Amino acid sequence: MLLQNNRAMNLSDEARIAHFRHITRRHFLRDCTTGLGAAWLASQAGPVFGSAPSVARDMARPLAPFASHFPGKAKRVIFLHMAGAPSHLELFDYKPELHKFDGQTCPEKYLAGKRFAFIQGVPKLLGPRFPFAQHGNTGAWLSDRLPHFSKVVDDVCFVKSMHTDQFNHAPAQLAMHTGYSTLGYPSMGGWVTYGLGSANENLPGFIVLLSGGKTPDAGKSAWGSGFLPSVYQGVQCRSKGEPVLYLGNPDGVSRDLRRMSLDALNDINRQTHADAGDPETLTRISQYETAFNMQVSASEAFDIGKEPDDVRAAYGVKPGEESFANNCLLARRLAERGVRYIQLFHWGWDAHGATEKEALDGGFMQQCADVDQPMTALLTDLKQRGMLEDTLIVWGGEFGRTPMRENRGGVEMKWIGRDHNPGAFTIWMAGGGVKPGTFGESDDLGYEAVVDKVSVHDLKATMLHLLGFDHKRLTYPNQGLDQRVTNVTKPSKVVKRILA
Amino acid sequence: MNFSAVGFYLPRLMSSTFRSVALSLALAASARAAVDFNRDVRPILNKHCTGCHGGVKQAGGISFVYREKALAEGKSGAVTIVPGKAEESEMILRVTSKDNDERMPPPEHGEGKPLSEAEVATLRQWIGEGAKWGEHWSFVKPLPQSVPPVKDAAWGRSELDRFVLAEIEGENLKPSREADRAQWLRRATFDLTGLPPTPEELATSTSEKATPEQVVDRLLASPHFGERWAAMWMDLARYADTQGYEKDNGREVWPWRDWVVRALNADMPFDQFTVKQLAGDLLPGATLDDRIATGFHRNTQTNTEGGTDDEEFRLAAVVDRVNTTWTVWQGTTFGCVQCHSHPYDAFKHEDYYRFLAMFNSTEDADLGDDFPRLSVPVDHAKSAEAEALDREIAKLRTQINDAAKPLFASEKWAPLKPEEVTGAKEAKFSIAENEVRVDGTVGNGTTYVMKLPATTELSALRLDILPRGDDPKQWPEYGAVVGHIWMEIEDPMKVAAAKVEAEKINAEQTGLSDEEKKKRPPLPTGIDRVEFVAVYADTLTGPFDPEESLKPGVAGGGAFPKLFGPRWLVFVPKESVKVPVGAALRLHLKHTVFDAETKGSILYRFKLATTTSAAWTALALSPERMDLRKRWSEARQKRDAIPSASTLVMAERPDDAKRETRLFLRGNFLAKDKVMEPGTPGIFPPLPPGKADRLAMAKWLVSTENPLTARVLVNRVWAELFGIGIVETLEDFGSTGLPPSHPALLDFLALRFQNEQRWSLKTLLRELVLSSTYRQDHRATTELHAKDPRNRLLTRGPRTRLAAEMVRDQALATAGILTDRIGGPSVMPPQPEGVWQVVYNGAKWETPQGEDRYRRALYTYWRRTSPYPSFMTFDASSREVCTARRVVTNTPLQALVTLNDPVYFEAARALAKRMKSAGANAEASIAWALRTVTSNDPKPDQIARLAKLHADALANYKADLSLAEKAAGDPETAALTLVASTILNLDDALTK
Repeated sequence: MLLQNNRAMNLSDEARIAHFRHITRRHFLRDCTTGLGAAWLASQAGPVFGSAPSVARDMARPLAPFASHFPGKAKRVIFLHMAGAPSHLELFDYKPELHKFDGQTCPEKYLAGKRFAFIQGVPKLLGPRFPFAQHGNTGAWLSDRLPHFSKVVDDVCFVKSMHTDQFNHAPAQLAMHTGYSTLGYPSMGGWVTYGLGSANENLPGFIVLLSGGKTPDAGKSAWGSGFLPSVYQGVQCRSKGEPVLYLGNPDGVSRDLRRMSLDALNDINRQTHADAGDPETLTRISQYETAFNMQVSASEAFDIGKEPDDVRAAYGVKPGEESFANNCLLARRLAERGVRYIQLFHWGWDAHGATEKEALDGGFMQQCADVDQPMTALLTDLKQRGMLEDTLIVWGGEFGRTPMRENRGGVEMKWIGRDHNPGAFTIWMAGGGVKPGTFGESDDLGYEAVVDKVSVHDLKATMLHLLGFDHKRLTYPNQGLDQRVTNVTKPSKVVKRILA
Repeated sequence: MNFSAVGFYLPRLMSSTFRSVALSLALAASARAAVDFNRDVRPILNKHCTGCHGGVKQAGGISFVYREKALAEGKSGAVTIVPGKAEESEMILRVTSKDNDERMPPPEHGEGKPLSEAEVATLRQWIGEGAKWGEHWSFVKPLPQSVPPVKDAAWGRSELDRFVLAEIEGENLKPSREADRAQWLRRATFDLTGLPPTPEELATSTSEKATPEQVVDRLLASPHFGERWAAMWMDLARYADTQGYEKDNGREVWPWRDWVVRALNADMPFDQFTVKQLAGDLLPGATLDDRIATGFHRNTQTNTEGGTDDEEFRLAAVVDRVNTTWTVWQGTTFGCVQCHSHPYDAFKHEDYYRFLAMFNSTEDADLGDDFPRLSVPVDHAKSAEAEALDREIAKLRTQINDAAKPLFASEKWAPLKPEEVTGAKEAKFSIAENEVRVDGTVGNGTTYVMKLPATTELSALRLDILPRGDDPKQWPEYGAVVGHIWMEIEDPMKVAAAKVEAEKINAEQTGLSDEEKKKRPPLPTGIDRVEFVAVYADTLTGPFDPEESLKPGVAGGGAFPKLFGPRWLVFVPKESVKVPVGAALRLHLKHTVFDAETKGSILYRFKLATTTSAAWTALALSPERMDLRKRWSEARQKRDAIPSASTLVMAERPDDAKRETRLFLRGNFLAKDKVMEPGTPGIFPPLPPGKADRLAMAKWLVSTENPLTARVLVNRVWAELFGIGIVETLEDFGSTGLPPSHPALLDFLALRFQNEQRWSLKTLLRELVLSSTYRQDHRATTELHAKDPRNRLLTRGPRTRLAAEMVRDQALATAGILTDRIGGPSVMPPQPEGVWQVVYNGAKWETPQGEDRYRRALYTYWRRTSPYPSFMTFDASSREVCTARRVVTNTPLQALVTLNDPVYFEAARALAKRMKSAGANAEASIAWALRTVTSNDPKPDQIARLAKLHADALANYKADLSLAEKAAGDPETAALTLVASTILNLDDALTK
């Protein structure tokens, strides 16, 4: 009787319970339409409340497209993370005042109560190392390190009042992508694919591409799924070797032979289903078919050799290499194919001055040259293809750099560099419903964000808004709380004034 | 048909949301029995009220989480609930108000609808009956359950089956028939050993000769039992072979993992298993094994990124230990209480820090070498000797140091004010009457040189290291360590004489090369060095020995990596010091270490004092001290001579070095509030009397008074077997989790486990896998699947996908290449190039060629920031934090792993070789492989279908010999390999 009649059940309770349990496993859609099943979830000692995952996902099709809370202008995201944290003071945030104080001892008021990664005692202030000029109709300030980018500034929104509360790379990268400085929380790409699914089930919905020779400091945790099902973790793909792990058939298994083996496999699995009646078996059959399709579609998507010469030249790609340029071009190809969240990490921005490679007067200049052309080409390319409107590009590091010169171990260093600064940094965004221009300001030294401050949580709230989500309603229960990517313990807001 | 006498459980009739809602609607309209808070009222409060009037948000000063708050005045002055008087209760006035500004819940909240009449009636009746409160079901001790009566008394072998059958019969359904022996054997073998049955086991264990009881006893006695259940424990313990965070360097804690395997194989009762892992080091007469067991909570992460604050990440580890303890043993979401009181359950913010206090005084401090570590003899036979030596070494060292404590206390110290302090160029030294303060920049290797007054006389020098600030709430500060200390007497007469002497030597040795000059004895300087012979410290804690301050280049006394308050050291010279007339006395204090990976452990504020008492010299040179030191040094030599591996352990700081625990405002470790004393949450039973430490906490967890530990454990075991827990949210038994599907069964099992089964996991498992419930056939009609898709009613046997570890182990085992060896360091089986790519870390993934290539998944090297990719695809945890439940997914990437990962294709090749020798023709080979891999008797059409694949593949490979060569060699083996790979991918192969 119970199993047939649930009309008397409070509908909101039913939905909530169904949500809760189906995220933990599967069958939501089927049960929901037939109105069965939820019954056995059964609340005896008090109904479940307050803690339903906000997206009722069927784990048999975990990446099926889902509607957002409201129509979003952005359909996908390309996040260009400059791992190691580039100096805003040498790229975007022009500080003539700092120039004046170059070489002078830092006043005590800037040091009291501060924690630094490496600066010890009383350091000296360091003026901008490169000349700045204004560009485009918007008059955006840029240093001379980004000549290509200077031509597209009119499509770009610079946020100069970014701040975070972490001053070490791994925790700050985690805060940037998961909202928390410790491990175990899902990353933004995971949340977005959990919320929206993917537009192409023959490719992973959340793809990560690395360049710069090393993984970001936070490692795979920066694209992990945390407490969300592991299917929402980012899939690290490579521009060199097999793009997706285990995509290619083993040596000695041709595509024909693979087809033959899958046909036999499916035939027997269908018998198994007839015998045992487990719907999971049917899902498995369809997942093997998807895998078979993915072998072609993913290989094709990652083949930048298919691009015309002029496109490749515009990005400056070299096929077969692991480079930021290759990854930018791949990002466009993946975006075209419906991948929801494309996360690039480019390592090597940590210009402390400890070595030539990590110095403003050394490796920093090469880093700038390595990203300038490809990121400009990506923006231009998307615009030409009419994709910039619904593709959100975000570019930035995990924090900024200090206006003081680093004095590691309390001594003057051979090379010039800056320490980590969580108080102020600049990111830029383009497309996906963002209004070009400049937003927010840091103080005269570029030390603290002071006008229209934007936290890393505000950034994610804004990104989610652009994708059509109220960040407070994209939740998942964990440790007694409805967790969200904007960190339940910190205030966060959508930065409405940068919306187009 | 009441199967429960316990008030907070519903009568059977209401074992569903539908029924409880329907029934309360029905009852509301008529006269009804007394209202039960948990059953009737809490759901209404949680649904409509606690969102704003809860543990965190207490709008209008009102909370419905705590009775005393609910019965108090709100900010408006009105009393929210007046027991016995519904109409005088503000609550009733507000929920029934017609005025939208007055009415609760407000129209703009949630659905904005007023409470239903039935809900209001329930609240009225409840208040009328005295507004009795009740704790959430899981926070109340389980009570004995009587076995329910059932219609089909013939079904069911054990009492637990009756609980299940009663539910099934309540739905007018019947259990499934018993599974055939092979199906049950596969399930039981995986569930007990993590491996599939071998062909031989299939043959003997399905024959009439072996009873199921005998089969189960054989499986429980297998050494692989411990491996299988350790795999589950690894997720809970967040075991990994690396430290985590940025560098994610390797660490050795596998001896702990092996301890778990041994303990499980020995069926160590779960209460002991608990106490040893949480507090083995505090057990009286703790053995080496007891200390190894404490590695459980050393599986927290260590952050060695340059510039991180060690205190921040020490605390992150402590917080993780608290949260993990609550998830693993209490199935309770305690983590949110770190920042504020629990939004729904009656845990207060303070409760968190009271509990944390018991974890807050261990020696580990986020140091790069994972201090403290324990040396574990490679040869187990040496354990007793090592254990005795460790005890001896610790005892002697304390004895040597503590001998000075009475003297220190009774001494009359005379303050010593240096006349001048120099050292760091960019630092400012201020010398006040009673202390030296240093501001500005002090480089990491700086030496302070202090000119002492000519009147100085001393037989002992006291150094007090002080925090820069005096407010304990701002402590700890960065550490302060005396790397090297020495004193010099500079007599101008002697210096002048030495100068003459030195010039003379130089004149005699003019022909020396620079190299030769370095080798000759140092030239006389005329400066006399005062020799210190002993250092005494207030307490012995941290990684360095205070006496090492007397040697150059080694860190010594002080506080490292953090200074938690004032510290003192006493340095005793060989003989009393008196400054000769006209000479100068200089004290040198060199800094040698840095913490937070980069920050010098600098003395920024300190004071000096002296005494001339001869007692210090006598003590330092006493034969007793000499003898103790000799024995100490001999014991250390003996211990060092025992070849050992190392593992991470918990170690408690001495009583005089306990860290103070303060409440963190909003969970922020930089915003400290009042001091918290150790204890357990108010709604739980208190700690046993005596010292409130980790040991007391561990014993409290497994005491019969604890309402949760046994329930949480049996539920976890149930979920491992049935795929879903009686409480589905294994990690949350609180009011935000899901309620149990079979509450009486859960309590029956929990009490039985605790009492009759005496916490024996093997006894519990034996009963479960032999039960009729477990032995049911897992095949079901599509109709039953549709009705009860997740088998919550248990009308059929469980059919679940293999866990990540089992997927690997099965492939290797059936292919005949699995290495049987138990334990040892983790290994690196093949993984694709380029996966292992890490920042600031030179470690390499080196795949062995020998048997270590084919170890069980349990032994695969687990790198937190780069976990083994194929396991992750099959829903394993990255082991960053405790994972109580893996959500099982079904994705195309999983298909790519088992089809294409070279590990699996290598297994397919090996399986093909076995197939060849197992059968005279393709059909026979295929039949053998199907049986070996799926544990089923193969059906003729399955064999025929795969034989067709074999024939087609063979034709292909014969036509393209180079393709066959790449696959496996000759066309026959290649074709069999493809068939083997197909079999390993069957749905029947990937499930149990």
